[in-house]
Amino acid sequence: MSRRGRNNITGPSSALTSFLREHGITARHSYFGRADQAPPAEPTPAGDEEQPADEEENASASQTPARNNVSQTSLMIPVLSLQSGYASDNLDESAEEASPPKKKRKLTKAAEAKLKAKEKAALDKKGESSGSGKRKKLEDEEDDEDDDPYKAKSKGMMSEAVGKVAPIGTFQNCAQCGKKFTVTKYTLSNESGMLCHACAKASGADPFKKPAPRKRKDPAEKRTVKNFEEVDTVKPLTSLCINIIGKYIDQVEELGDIGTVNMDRICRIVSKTRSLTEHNVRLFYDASNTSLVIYDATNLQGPAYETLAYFNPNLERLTLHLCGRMETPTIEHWSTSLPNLKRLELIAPFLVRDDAWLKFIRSRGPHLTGFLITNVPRFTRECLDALIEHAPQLQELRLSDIIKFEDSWLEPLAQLTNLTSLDISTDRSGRVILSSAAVVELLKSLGRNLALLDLSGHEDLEDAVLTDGIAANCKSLTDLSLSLLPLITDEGIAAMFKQLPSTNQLVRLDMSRCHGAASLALAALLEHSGHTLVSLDINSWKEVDEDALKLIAAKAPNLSTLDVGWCRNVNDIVIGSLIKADQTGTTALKRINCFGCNKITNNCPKRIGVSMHGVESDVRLQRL
Amino acid sequence: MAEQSEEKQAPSEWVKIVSRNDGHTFIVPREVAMTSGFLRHTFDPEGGFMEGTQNVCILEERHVDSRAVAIIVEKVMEYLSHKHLYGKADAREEIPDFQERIPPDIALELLMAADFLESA
Repeated sequence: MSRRGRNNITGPSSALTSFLREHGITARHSYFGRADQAPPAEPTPAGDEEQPADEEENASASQTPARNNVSQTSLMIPVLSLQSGYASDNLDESAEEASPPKKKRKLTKAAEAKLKAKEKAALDKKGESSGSGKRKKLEDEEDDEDDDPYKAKSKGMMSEAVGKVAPIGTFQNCAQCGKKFTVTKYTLSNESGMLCHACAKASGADPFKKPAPRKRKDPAEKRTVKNFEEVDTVKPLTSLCINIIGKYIDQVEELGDIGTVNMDRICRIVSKTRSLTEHNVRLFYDASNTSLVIYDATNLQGPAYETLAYFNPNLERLTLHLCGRMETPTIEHWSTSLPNLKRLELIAPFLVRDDAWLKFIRSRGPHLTGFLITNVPRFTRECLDALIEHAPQLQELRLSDIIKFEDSWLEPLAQLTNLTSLDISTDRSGRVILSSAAVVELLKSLGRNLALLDLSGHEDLEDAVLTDGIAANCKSLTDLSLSLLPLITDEGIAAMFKQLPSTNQLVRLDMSRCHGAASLALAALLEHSGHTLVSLDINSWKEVDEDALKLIAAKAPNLSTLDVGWCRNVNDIVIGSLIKADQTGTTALKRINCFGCNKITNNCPKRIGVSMHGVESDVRLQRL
Repeated sequence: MAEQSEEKQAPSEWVKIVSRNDGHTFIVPREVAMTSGFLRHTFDPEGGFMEGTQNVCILEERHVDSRAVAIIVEKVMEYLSHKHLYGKADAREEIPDFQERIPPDIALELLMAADFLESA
């Protein structure tokens, strides 16, 4: 099949040609009349020596078109033909020639790999199933490769060319009848030689018949995806139960006697796995509910919140965590649909716009006792003013992590003199920065009634806040949070506690991550509040010494939760004193958090009922 | 206070889960019990817990938070066996649905028990 003629003109080429060119296979030399080349029909002996080198070349996959250079590639084909015993100067045959050695190699490799995989699989059948699963995937991949329509070795290529002894286009004598015939692509051969078309047909083998298609794996079978997350395996019992709840949501009586069950706990569990949906949240709805807490409202969208209001019209207290999908219409809707609402606590309703807040405040404001929102970038100064105006009786206020918050907001806040709980903390991003002076001013007017105060995260606050603000003005504190205030000092804290009136009976104190604090502060704070403290957090008070730490046990008998994480001097003795290991006395401690205390060893005393979190020597026991 | 015994015994093949309220005892293979996170830590011989050496775990009402503790515990054990058996199955095998075997009237209590025992 000489399509080319005898000139050097190269025009656009067919796919086959470009494939050959890519692989550096060309028979152009045979047509362009190379001087040193024998006539195209016969194999070139000159190519012999180049065999090994070229075989490698050809076997490697990357052939650049540059190799199409006449002088270079002239060596390619004859080499191949010799290798397989053929002379080939024709494109088609060269294509076939080129592929068998490569394919043989590939076959061998594939066959080898398969053998190996099979061996391994046999060995590992006794071992972990996951391992063999992976290997199975390997096998499957190879099978897939074989069956993949793109990567599979061409069917056509496999069948022919494995017995030819003459190049296409030449004349050969038929082995059977002796007639001369032209060798073509479809010429078959038997043991003695090549057969002419007639004899081939007579022998029954139809050269045009395609070989029987290789049995392909059922696509459905091939489709097994190895799920490394093990989705197919047994579902956790909790999700099965939640499914049942969802199924029987309309026949709630089927779920047994709900009255005795702790619905709050159920709500927590369902929220834990983010399984709370619009559908099964109805389990917690009740027309007689006065209080509702949802721990993860992520799956609830706009209209679902309105449904919430319809089903729980008597709500007085509502707390929603993670309500990021709540939108403006909801708050507007609630202005009228929750007539008894007194306390609203929303964590992260960041989509709600200021006009909704305004509407809500204007209508519900006079009835509100608690307004606690976190992470609401669209709460503006105007909203705050409205709040002050319409809800002067507000007792609980939380405006935590509101981007627009700043010093000037504290001035109107000072008018809410009924506040008993004030939380204007922020997270660590430092977007909201209050100054000491402004806070002190605020405390001057509000401090007296405050039971809960949270100023965490405002990194610019200094000792002045403690002494001039808190100690001077606060009389009824029970819950104080001053975490993440790097500027306050040990002496400052000590001074505050010395100055703080004893009418402040602190039950909960969180001063974590105040790096300046040390033993003086701890001693002073225990002196003041030790006997009332139930929860103490002094995480990151790294300089506190052992003696001060031992004071905790002596001075804080009612302590139930203690966080001494990263207090470097905590050791076995301190822990022992805390849990009263050597004496038979009782301790109220339930939980100790001691991350980062590397002096605690494996022999650290333990006690039934006291859980310790963060002991490093236990790391090997933790299933991470 | 959990006292560590000096002798090291090979962990026994079976462990006992006792429901204190109604006095039922369930004896299950250790491997099955270890499917539950809570029980795994409880029975861990190096965990320093009494149960590690004695191989008995007593569940009280406050753990499972219901009156009919035994029924709940039994269902949980059934689930653990189911999970242990089919947990290592090939993805292609038919895994019977355990959900059908849970009567809905214990679903809520079972949920709390399952959460407590970390049987995921």
